[in-house]
Parts: sequence; structure tokens; C-alpha cells
Amino acid sequence: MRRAAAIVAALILSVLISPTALAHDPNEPNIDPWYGEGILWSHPFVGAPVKTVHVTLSQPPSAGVPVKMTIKTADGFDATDSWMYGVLRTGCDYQRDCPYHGISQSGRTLKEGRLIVPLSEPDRDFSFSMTFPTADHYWGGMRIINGGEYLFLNLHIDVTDIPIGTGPVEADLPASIAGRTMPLVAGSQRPPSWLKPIAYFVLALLILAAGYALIRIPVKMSKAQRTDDTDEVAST
Amino acid sequence: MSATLVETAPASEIEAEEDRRSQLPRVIARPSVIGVAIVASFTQGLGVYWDIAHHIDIGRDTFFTTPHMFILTGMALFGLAIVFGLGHNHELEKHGYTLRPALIAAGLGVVVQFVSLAFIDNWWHAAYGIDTTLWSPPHLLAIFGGTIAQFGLIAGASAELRSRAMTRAGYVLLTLLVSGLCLSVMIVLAEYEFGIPQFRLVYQPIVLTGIAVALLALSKRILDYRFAATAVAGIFTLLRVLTWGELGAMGRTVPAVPLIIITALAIDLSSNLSESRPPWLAPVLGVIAGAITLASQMIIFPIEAKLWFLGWAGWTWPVVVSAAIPALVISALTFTGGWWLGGRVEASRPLPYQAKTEAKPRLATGS
Repeated sequence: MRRAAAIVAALILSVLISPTALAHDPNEPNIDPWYGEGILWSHPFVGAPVKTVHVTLSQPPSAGVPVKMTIKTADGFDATDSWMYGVLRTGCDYQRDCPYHGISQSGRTLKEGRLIVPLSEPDRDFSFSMTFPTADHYWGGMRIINGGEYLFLNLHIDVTDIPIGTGPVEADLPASIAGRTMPLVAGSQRPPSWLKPIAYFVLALLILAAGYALIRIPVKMSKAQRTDDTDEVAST
Repeated sequence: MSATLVETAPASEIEAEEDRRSQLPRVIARPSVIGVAIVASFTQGLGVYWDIAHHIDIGRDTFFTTPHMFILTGMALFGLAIVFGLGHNHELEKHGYTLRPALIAAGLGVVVQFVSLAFIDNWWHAAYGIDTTLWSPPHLLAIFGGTIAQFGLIAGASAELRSRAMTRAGYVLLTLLVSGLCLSVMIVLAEYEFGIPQFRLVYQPIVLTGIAVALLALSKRILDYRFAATAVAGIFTLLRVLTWGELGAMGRTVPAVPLIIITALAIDLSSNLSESRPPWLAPVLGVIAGAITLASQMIIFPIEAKLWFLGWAGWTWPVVVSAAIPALVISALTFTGGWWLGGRVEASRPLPYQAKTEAKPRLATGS
């Protein structure tokens, strides 16, 4: 009876765990393959649903001059559960560890080119200052956690133009709404939509079953000790 | 029942019994097994953090990266330690005892880890892309395999070391082994600690408190000495700081180090207060330990973010407030689980073993 109850509990738990693990993964059908690679780069797939974000630079970018960037949405990012990170750097193609210049984020001691931005209250936007070390083209990708959404935003900032005027530079950009699925290897097919939920379900079942079996070992070995002690007492 | 034995058995018989146990062949308590296993688990831990930093800064350019080699070397060493252990266990079985279940579990854990990382993970990357999340099924399976391997070896080592008079060296080795387990399990939080979360932020406080208090409760009960949890938390912290130093020296992104030593100290001090350890104590301690863990991170993460090349900025109040109740409930549950399981491990001894062609075990007279 206890074993049957344990099996039922394991099944229920596994069913609960699978959709939780997939909370960010819409498993959109008919999506073109991802491209690119690297954990910090964000390469949204063609045809992914998008959300418009408003990007503002406090002034035209130029080398060596701190500039403030603000990224916001019309209804604000999730007040509790929002976070942004990414890279913004020059030339050197995606993810290769070749020489490059990267922006330096004010107030943080991050690796060159890296960005980490918590949500700014009360406007519920992402706001940070950075400095471009050289006059060059800077490419970057941002990943934004917005509650249950996971957004991918690509940026290209041209710092080679001589700034005209001093006003803010603004643009509305599409940020892809995505699951955790990362770029596909070039040429490969997107796996079937049922694969990931099944994988998490099997994993959860396996962990629960193996965990139960594993717990049995010290239980059995400690019972053996108690039996051993009892026998020794009896023999005395 | 041990107390009854002490009261009823003549001192000479107890001494003779202890003598017999101390003369049993060593299985895990050998440098070639426990020593290699400790080195292996630390090597793997270092390799995994290095690997994640490599993925963040460079990418997964090839399977044969240096950090991957560290992970595989650690795994191979751990497997080798278990093979040695199984060999020595054969000698123990000739004396009527065995540690086979613990060693087999540990071996299966290494196999699960190896199959997951070497085959399933590569297939998953081919299907879903070069860099998926740390919480992908193959990654979680590998972490779980490592947990099985280390837990199996800890159960076996504890049983063996306690079957004879526990020495100071025995405590040290077991403490190091348990610290290796903590290092391995806490890897599940690495994405958050590197500042590249891919799941909701509220999961971090919940998972961190749940895992940390479970591991510390488990450590306290398995080791069962005055500052056992503090010792494990101290070694864990030292290893994580060394990892930070290594990654920092290479110019890599470094992860935040969670502050669990205050929680550990609180667990040690509070559980030392009561010898009787009533059943309600574990969930109560779990809630207290969970609250201390939450508060500790609120203090340490912002400090770390100011001092180091660090991704994580610290938890915001809305995140902590949203996570607090589930985190404390889960802490009560996981602490109780860890407390109970650690007690079982501490009470474990080698199992009586009867070979098909041999007589009954010498020490268990049978009922």
C-alpha cells in the first residue's frame, strides 16, 4: 500500500515538475531554426513572436563619454521578476575569444563588454550607464527575464559617426519572446515539441525513483546495525 | 540498544568485539579510494564552474575544452576509486561483511553522470543548440548522477569508519567527502550565481535555501560532531573562493559565492543545545535555517558585487518577499529530510554478508 502511494505521489510530482520546468518555453510551432551560439548572445529566430521595447540613449554615443541607456516597454517590466544581462562589444564575431573592445558598465566591475542590469524602480525599466572605449560599431545581445517571458533583444550601436546635436537617441526595437531553447546547430531540424516535456517528465521520474532506491541503502544498513546490536545483546 | 549492550556485556567482550571490527580489511577508508574520491569531487567541482565561465565568455567551441577535461578527469577518478573500493570489498566479504550496496550505488551514479554528459548531453546540444540552460534534462541528470555517486560513497565510508573506533582522521576524511557533495549539489544554482539566469528570479532563493539547509542538516547528522555543519560550510566556502580566484586569475566571469556558513553555525549551535532532539525540532530548525540563509544572501551578494568581477547584484526585496514563504516551507521539509537521512547514514554499518559457500557472518550471530 505504501509503495503504491509512493508511486502515485512520484507520478503526480513528475507531472507537476514538467510544466514548471517548461514555464518559459512556449514551444512555438513552425519556428525557423535559431542561429548563432554563446550563452550571452541573443539571436532571435525568424518568425518568433515579438514585443516592442523602447530603447533610449541619453545622447549620441561617442568614444570615452558615458552614456545612459534605458530600455522600457509600454506597460513596464514585471515589478517582481525582471532581470537583464548581455554583451555589447565590437567586431570579433560571435562568441570567439578573439581580441575585441567592449563597453564598460558604470558602477560595476564586470568583464569588458558584459552587462548586468537589475530592474529600476519605480519606472520598471532597465537603465544603466556605459562607456564606449573606441569609435567603432558595437553589436550586442540582451536577454531579459520579464516574469514568465524570456526576451531576446539585438542591438547595434554605431559610434563611428560624429555626433550631431546633443539630444537623446531613441528607437523602437523588436524583442523576441522566446523559451529557453537556444540556437540550433546550423542545418539541424528543430526537435519535436513533445520531446522536451517528455524529457523533463522522465528525468523527474528517474530522480524520484533513484532517490527512493538510494535512501533505502542507509535505511537498510542502519537496520542491519540495530539487528547486529540486538544479536550481540542476546548473545551476552 | 547500544546502551543496553554497554550495560550488560562484560567490558572484555566489548573490547574483543572492537578488536575484531578494527581488524576487518579496509575498503573505502584507504587513500586509493576515499582520497582519490575527494580529489575527484573537488576536480569536478572546479571543472564545472570553469566550464560555465568558459561557456559565458567564449562559448562551447568544442567538446574537448580544458574545463570539460577537468570534469571528465574527475569523473574517471571517482569511477576508479569505486572500482578500487569494490576490489577491497571482496576482501571484506570474506570476513562476513559487505559495503556492496553503497559502492554499487556510487558506481551507478558515475555511470549515469558519464552517459548523460558524454552522450545524452551532446545529443541534446545537437537538438537544441550549443548553449542550453544548466537546467536542461541532461545537465540535471548529470548533477543527479554525481549526487548519487557521492552520497553512495559517503554512506559506505561512514558505515565503514564507524564500524571501528572513529578516529580524528576518519572525521576529517568524511567531512571532506561531505563537502564535495555540497560543492556538487550547489552547482544547480550556478546560472543565477554567474548572473545569467534563464528561469524566474524567485526560484533562486527557494532552491538555494531548500538545498543549503538540507545539505547542512545532512552534514550535521552524518558527521555528528559539535561544529560539523560549520566545518562543511567552511570547506565549501573555501573551495568556492578558490574557484573564484582561479577564474579571476584567468580573466573569466566569476560566480557569486552563497553565504551558508552562518546558517551552518546556527544549525550546529541550536542542535547542540538539545541532546534529545525531539521530532518537532527538525522542521523548526529548518524554518530558522531557511530564514537565516535568506537574510545572509541579502547581506553578502551586494557586498560581493561591489568587491569582485561579479555578475550577480543581489536579491531585490520584491523577489525575496515573493520567495520567502515557499522558501521557508521547503526549508522545513528539506531540513527534516536531510536530518532524517543523515541520521540513517550515521547509524549505518557494513551489512552482514554470507557467501554462497561460506558459513554465517562472524559478528552477527543470527536470530
